[in-house]
Amino acid sequence: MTDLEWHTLVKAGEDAGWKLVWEKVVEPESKSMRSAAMMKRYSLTAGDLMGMLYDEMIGRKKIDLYRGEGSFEGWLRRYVRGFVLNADPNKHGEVSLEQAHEDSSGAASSPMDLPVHDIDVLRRDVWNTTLRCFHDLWMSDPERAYVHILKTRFRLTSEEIRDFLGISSTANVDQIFSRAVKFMRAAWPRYDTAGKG
Amino acid sequence: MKAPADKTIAFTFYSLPTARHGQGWKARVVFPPGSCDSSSADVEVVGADGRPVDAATFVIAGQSLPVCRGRASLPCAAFAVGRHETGIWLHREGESPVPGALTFE
Repeated sequence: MTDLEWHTLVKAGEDAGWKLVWEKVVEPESKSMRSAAMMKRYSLTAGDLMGMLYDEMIGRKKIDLYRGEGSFEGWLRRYVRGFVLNADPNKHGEVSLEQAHEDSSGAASSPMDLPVHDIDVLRRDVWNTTLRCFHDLWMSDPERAYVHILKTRFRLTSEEIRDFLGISSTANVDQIFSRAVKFMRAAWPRYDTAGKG
Repeated sequence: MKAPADKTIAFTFYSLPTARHGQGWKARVVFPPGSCDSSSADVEVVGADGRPVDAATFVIAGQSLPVCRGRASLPCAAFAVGRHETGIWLHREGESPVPGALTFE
């Protein structure tokens, strides 16, 4: 059966089409590593997913959105994965009744995890650390700093760097770059404030 | 020395932090595409206020380049030879020299 034929059967609500949806999409996805743990946590069954998919495809006519690009199976799987992800009550700012129950073991992460890091501050810290490490690299050997910046910022090949700086061979360029990277990595812990948060 | 024919390479140098406010500077050394030993790189020098620096000397790759209205010229051959030099300085007339370094920009 081609994807188009399968799509037609599913759209018409035919048992043959939906049987395939169960066999090829819902059941395998519900057993996959990605989804199985989350489904167990949120008390979601494969039958629930099947019902949600039917509502979405037939009830809300999402079946018409499939244009034949990519496989029909893959297209349906994306919806099923989305249902599993959206089953997380914390995504909707709500606390699940199950977790709120006094007998709940609390094994799941706290539903009210508040961020403790400012992303912009972390980015700035990382950038400042990069600049400090690069400065140390420059002071240790300017040629290494030039090679590093030509590779990483200007995306020059080893041949181009060899010709630009007059280095003897491309192997030499690669060795200098490798040493520059090692130097930066070794210098990082001295200045890294973001990682020490 | 031979620069790629399809890329402009620009190195940015900043002054190191100094005690005196207003002494900072920034210099950009630009190698046009296809630069070779006989070519020159353009050097642009601005002060902490963003204005072009005048009447100064910019030291890079062992070369002392006169800076006039924020501009100087660095022979590409000299850059290749002096690439191991760490000394980057800006000497403004009547002021003490301020060191700098290549930055990752």
